Amino acid sequence: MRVIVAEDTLLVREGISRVLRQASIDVVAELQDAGTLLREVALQQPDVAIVDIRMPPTHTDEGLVAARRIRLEHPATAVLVLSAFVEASYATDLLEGHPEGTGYLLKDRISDPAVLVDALLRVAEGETVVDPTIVATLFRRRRQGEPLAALTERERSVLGLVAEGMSNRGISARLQITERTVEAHIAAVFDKLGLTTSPTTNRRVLAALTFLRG
Amino acid sequence: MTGWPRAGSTVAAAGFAVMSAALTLSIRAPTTYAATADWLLLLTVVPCAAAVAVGLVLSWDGPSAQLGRLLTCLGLTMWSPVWVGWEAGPPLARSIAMLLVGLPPVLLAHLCLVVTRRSHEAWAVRALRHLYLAVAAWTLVRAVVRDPWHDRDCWSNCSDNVFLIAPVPGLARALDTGWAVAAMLVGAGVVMLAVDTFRRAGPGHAHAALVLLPCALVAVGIVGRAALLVAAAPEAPELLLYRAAFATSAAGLLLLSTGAAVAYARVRRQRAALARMAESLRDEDAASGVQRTLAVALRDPGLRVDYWHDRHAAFVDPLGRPAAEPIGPSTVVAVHGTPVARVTSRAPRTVPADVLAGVGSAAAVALENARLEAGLRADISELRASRARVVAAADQQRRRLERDLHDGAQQLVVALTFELRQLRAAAAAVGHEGFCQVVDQQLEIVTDLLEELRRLASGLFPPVLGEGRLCAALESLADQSPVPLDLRTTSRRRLPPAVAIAAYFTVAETLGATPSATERVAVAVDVGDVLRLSISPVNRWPGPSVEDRVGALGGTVRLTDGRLFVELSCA
Repeated sequence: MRVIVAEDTLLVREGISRVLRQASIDVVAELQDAGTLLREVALQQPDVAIVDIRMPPTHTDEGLVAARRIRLEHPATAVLVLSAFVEASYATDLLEGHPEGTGYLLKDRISDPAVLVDALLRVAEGETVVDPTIVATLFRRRRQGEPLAALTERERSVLGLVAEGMSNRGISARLQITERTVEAHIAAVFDKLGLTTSPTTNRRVLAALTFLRG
Repeated sequence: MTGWPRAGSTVAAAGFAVMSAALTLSIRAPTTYAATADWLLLLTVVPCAAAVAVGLVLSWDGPSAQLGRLLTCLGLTMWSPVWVGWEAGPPLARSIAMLLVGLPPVLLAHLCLVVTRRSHEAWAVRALRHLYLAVAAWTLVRAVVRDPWHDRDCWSNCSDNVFLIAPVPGLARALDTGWAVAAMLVGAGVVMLAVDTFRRAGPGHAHAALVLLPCALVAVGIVGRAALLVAAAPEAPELLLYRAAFATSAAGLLLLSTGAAVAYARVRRQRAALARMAESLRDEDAASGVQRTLAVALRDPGLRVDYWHDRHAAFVDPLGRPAAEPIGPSTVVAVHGTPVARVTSRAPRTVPADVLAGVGSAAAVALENARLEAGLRADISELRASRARVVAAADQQRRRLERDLHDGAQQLVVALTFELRQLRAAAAAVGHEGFCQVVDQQLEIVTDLLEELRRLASGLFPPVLGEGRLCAALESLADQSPVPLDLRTTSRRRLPPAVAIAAYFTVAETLGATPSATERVAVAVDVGDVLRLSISPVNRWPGPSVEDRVGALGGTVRLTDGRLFVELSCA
């Protein structure tokens, strides 16, 4: 797998590259700002672009904007957006329209090779990845409302994993249940919450996130 | 009375009036005053019709509604003898009309009290209540015991009383006499009240006379008739005295109606003039007013007046903004050598130079006043701008700190986690289990550290505010707030960053000042052309920092009923 890393802090950039190289992943470029990122992606056509949200020049959300552009202009390149902030609106903005091959991770977790590589593989295959911390924060907020109370414990777990972007197979592996049971739970959850189930795994991530955000 | 009941009663009253008029004019029943002479016929129809008409019109106007209703009732009840005298009419109608004959003196007294604005006084309320009760009782008793057959003084309705139960002629006669005496007393009271109020009116003589003196006139007529009934019953329209009493009452009623109408028209004119004046006062400020007046006087609609601002040493327009360079000939008006104003004419042909130069002396005082006002406006906008700069500087400082935390401390800690994991991997490779556990503990601490740093940074300046995402920022605030926050927003649309920042910190600072015992705080955000923010409960005025933020953007802050309202323009 070929990956481009765009992160403006030297130490973190080097840390990420080291983890990737140790996992035998090819880091084809290490960049510091959004402009060069877009050029390099066009040039190198990597499998995944790892992008920090905050980068020069404005240090607001250039990374987010660049990530969306990459998905639009280079559908073959997946993006994994890194952020220091638990900001659900960044996640929903990112996923809107093109949830496939897109991921949002907190920087807290990326030092763990297992997490980082797993996320890379998943987005490279066209899945969606949402950091569990974000989903957990949204669940905490939503608890104050009504609709979640109608779900069983198991259904709530399933909803959380759906929001994290996991496929039916991933959910069945995590919860130790069959895929058919997973499908049944998802159908029940979406029905109870009044959401329309989408045929694709990716669209339902957005539906779940949007619902949780309220 | 509003809406349907009012409309209904208006229609009913008008209907009765029309029927009474038809009755009087067409039938000319012999047992009424109307039959005896033409001028008496007129005096029966016209005053009562006028009273009903004017009364109905007045009853639809708020302040005069009560007067209107009383006038209508008075007109209708003074018309009731026509129904009583209708020999061919249905007995029920005549008997009902008989019930009304006792009312006019009481209605007149009530009307007089309303007109003299004393109907709210305790004694007046008591007196009226007693009077109405007395009339009601009198009517009731009389209705059941009076048999017209046995009444030797009867002249008008001498045949039928539908409500009769048991004739008691003595009681009936006593009741009639009693009524006459009471009418005299009430009438005398009305005359005294009217005359006394008229005398005390002072400069308001003429206006008072319109309605008060006719009241007194009607009362005199009633007293006269009552006195005659006591002294020389039966009632006989042929007698001059009876005619005189009737005519006096009727004339008084007519004058009362016209007086009330005139007074009402006058009041409406005054109200309209006041409203116009209030509106023109509101629209005009001194400075623009002078410009407009001069433009009209010199017949140059493009005339512009700019005022001299001492501190800026430049001219400002009427609203305090820096004035543009003059296009066209201008003249500077100076007082004692100091410039006051500059008048620029757009059309040199219409305003010759010497006329323009003459403006100075003609309008010196007005121009000086306008100059002071324009100067104040300029000062206020300057003040606002400086407040905005202060607030923006403080916010910039916070953003810098947050960015330093993020780019500096947080990133370093993230880098540290990488190093720790490398360390752990190395330890695991050589099978050093104990060391792995130690490193795991360090990783936990470092993760907590990262969360703490994140919390600090977000408390300083939520990163999403820079992009105008107010809702997301408020949701994060709600997550961290010790007091439960109930957040409602109408739209998640992005706002201009300045507006989002001001709104966010208003909420944050208000929350900070909320006592921790508060159960929950409700924050409502309405996003539109104007951002409307409402926070409750808020018991203390938020303080200068909120005012400065909101004021710097030209918004408003209001504290009403324990709720804080903030409005900010999103333009």
